Parts: sequence; structure tokens; C-alpha cells
Amino acid sequence: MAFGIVPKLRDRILNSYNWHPWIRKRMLADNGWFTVFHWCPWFKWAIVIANFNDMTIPAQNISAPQQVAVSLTGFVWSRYVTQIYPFSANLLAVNFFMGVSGLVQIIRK
Amino acid sequence: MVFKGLIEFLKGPTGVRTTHFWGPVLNWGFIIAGIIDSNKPPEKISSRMTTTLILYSTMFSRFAWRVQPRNYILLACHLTNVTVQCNLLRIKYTYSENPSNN
Repeated sequence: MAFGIVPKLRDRILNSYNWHPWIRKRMLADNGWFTVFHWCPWFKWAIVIANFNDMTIPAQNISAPQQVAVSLTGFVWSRYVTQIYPFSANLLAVNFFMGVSGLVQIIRK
Repeated sequence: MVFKGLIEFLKGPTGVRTTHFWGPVLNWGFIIAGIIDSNKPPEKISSRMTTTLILYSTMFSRFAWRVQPRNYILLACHLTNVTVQCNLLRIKYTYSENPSNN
């Protein structure tokens, strides 16, 4: 970022050992292991998991506006992810499943 | 002059006809939900969810800054989400210290 800490850390780790070419590629890529584009989808899975854990709650406890917002966000973001650089398949998957979970909750209600 | 720039932005490649615009617009739902929750009784605030959302929004504000094309609406959305969630945490902790308060 401002101090370039993470690129320096990445370069240190890269130069410390003769990594396999695939590992090297993943470390250097624009959506690689040292970038935010790799890590932020894992946070979004928490929303999907929370929504799937709520599959067992009674239907009257489901908040319809919230689930509509969740499913709409999920599907619009799925399309958005295909339009940005760098592309992240994990983010695409997470948003798709977010949309699906919202839809299931709406159908249940 | 301001409006002309705004309309050019809205018509442009990241404008109203694209998901670059509507994706972040839908994310403002988090903030609306947060504001509604700040008017509800403090016991309903889940500190686990608020801390998760604070972390999530800081990560995504970095994402919005670094993504190509840079997405200022998303950035604004997640920065306000951080403040809204911090406010919710403040409400919860001041309540739990003094349960007799309203």
C-alpha cells in the first residue's frame, strides 16, 4: 500500500527458496496470494454460510427485505465480477451462492 | 459544471447502464440496515456480526481502491459501513456497561 510492505514481503518470500513455477505464478499474479483480490472473497463466504445456517429457522423469522437485498446483491455482483480486472472466480462463486441462498429463503417464506 | 461531469460519469463505461454502478448501489443496503439497527434495542446487536462487517468493509474498501476500474461508490459505501458498524459497537458496549440506561 503506501509503504509497500506487502510487495516487499512477497519478494522476500519469493527469493528465499526455489519455488515450483505454479506457486511462483500464484504469488506474482495480479489476483495472487499477496493481494486483496485473493483474500476478500473468503470473508464474503461468512455471509453465505450464515444464510445457509439460517435454513432451519421458522419461516416467519425470515426478513423478506433483507433476503431480497441479499439475493439481488449476489446476482448483480456475479455479473460485476466478470467485468472487472483482475477476475476472481472465488468472488464469482461466493456472490452466486449468496444469490441462491437469498432466493431459497424467499421461496421458503 | 458539476452536473455535467456527473452526467458524463453516469453515461460512461462505469455508469448507470453497468453493474459497476449497481453493484455498489446495492451494497448501500448494509448501511441502511445498520442505521435501522441503531434505532433498535441494543440487545439485538450481534457484536460478532458487527466486528465481521468492520473487517469485511475495510478489506473491501482496499478492494474498491485497487480494482480496475477504480470504484469510488463502493469505496464510499464500505467506509461509511465501517463508521456505522463502529457506532453499533459503541451502542452495544455503552449499554452493557450501564444496563440501567435507556
